[in-house]
Amino acid sequence: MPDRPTDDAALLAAAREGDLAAFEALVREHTRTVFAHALRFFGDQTAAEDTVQEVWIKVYRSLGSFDGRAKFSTWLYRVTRNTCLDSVRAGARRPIPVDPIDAIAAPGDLADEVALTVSVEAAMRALAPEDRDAFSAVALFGLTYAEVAETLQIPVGTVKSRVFRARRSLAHLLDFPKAGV
Amino acid sequence: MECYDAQATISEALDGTAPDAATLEAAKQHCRDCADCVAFVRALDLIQRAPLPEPPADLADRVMEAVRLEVVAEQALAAEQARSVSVAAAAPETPGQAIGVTPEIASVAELDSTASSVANSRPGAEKTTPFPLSRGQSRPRPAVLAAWMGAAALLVVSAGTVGVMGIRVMSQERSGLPSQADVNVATVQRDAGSAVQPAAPPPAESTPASSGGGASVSAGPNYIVFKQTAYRLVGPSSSSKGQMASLGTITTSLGGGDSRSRNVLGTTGAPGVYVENDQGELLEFQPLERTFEGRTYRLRSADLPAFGAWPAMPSGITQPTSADGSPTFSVVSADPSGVKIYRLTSSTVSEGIAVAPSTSASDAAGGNPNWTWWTPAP
Repeated sequence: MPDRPTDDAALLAAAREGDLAAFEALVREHTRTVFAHALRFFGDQTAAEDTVQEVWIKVYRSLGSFDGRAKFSTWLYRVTRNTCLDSVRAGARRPIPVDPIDAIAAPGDLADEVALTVSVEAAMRALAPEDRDAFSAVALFGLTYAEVAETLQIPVGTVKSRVFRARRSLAHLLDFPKAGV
Repeated sequence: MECYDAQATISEALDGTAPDAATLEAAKQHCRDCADCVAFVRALDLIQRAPLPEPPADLADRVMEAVRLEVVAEQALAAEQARSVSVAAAAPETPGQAIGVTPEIASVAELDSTASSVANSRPGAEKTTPFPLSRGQSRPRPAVLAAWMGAAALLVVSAGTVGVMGIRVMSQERSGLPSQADVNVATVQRDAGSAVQPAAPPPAESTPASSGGGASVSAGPNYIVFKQTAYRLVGPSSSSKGQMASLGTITTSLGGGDSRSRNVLGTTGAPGVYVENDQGELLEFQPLERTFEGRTYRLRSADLPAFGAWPAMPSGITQPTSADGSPTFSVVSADPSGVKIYRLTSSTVSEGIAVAPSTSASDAAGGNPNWTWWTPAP
């Protein structure tokens, strides 16, 4: 096996020195997370794929300007979120509207993993954007409440509320009394 | 404790920010006894366990393909900048200015300006313009386009400089002054030759051959190819030619002299070769080697179109059509430094190994923008 650093900080440091293999390791490690965020944001596979590419190109171009004080995941979340929002502001892409009815899990949908993912992702898309944003930062990118608060420029208490609200909404959309059966 | 508070406490605990132990225990106790809260906790567990949506299997490959294009664009840009500096430095000395032939000077300034406008494509320069590359869709990106425009501009500059030199030579012939055109024409020839290369990053280090004796500054890598083996310039050698045997000849300018046939010398049992430059210095070149799974491999290449060009795939090895090396190559594993090693899809590593473009400067391939092919050292 290659003697290569595996933690984000070490890979990032190597990538900043021009080690493309280290950058590729970061890409392979985090692409799924970026893709999930973009897919939940746009509700469209192609838009999510394009966003992933844009995110990584931006990250690559900004390697030299990343000061290393924040975690890589915090930076990646910020770039991903901004890329999605910029794309909408520029009129390049538009999130597909969600009908909350479609987000309600069908009976039996939670039985297997694939169906579970489909149901959970549909419910994610039905969340209020600000709740989904905070929940994504915490649950997908692994940020702390304080990091989300700093990134989104909102109080920590607001982050907690949004994340909790997201969880309650998801539980309702997934019809949690049934889920508990 | 009320349901809302219990669920909020559980939610915070999931995120690693549990309140005090007593509050958490009270919330847990509530959730054991309350049917709604039991269901809520089970729903949270389901959400936690749900696998993330799976991106297409080739998405990361496409991302890296786009990043590599970015790297190539950067390298082309760096090379163009280095060359434009070289041309600009030479231009004021030309008598073309004195006889009113100055358009190429303006062009160099424009080229510098163009290059600067693209400079923010390098790491460290934040850009906000997205350049999506969807599957099956290959939109040219501004950085790449600009780099190629830079190369095209360089050709125009080079042609202009050749014209100026021609006038200069005629002028010098008339005036009886010694001509310096030989030195400068060699630079232009190399520049024109390497401008058609996919990319030519600046040299990893400056070499005596490229900085002394009045030779032109070399902006590209300092390789020669002799008998399909690539050698890199080490520097002037103090060895005596008398102790060496002639191994054959190669045609090269060595970056500063005429592109002409030169003797390649060597000593028995030593891997390096030696070539004399126009200043009479004996230059030492060593083969490029890399080790993989305990075996040493040497870099092989087709003949270079000009000194300063990067080694490329030797004849007989088909250029891959995909970033993942297919269909020519299949990945084997990575070497200790993490560089992916490929083999011929139809063969084994005992025949040779390949390395994808744009490794780091510290790698034996030294940032070569081409696929490189390595065979076991004799």
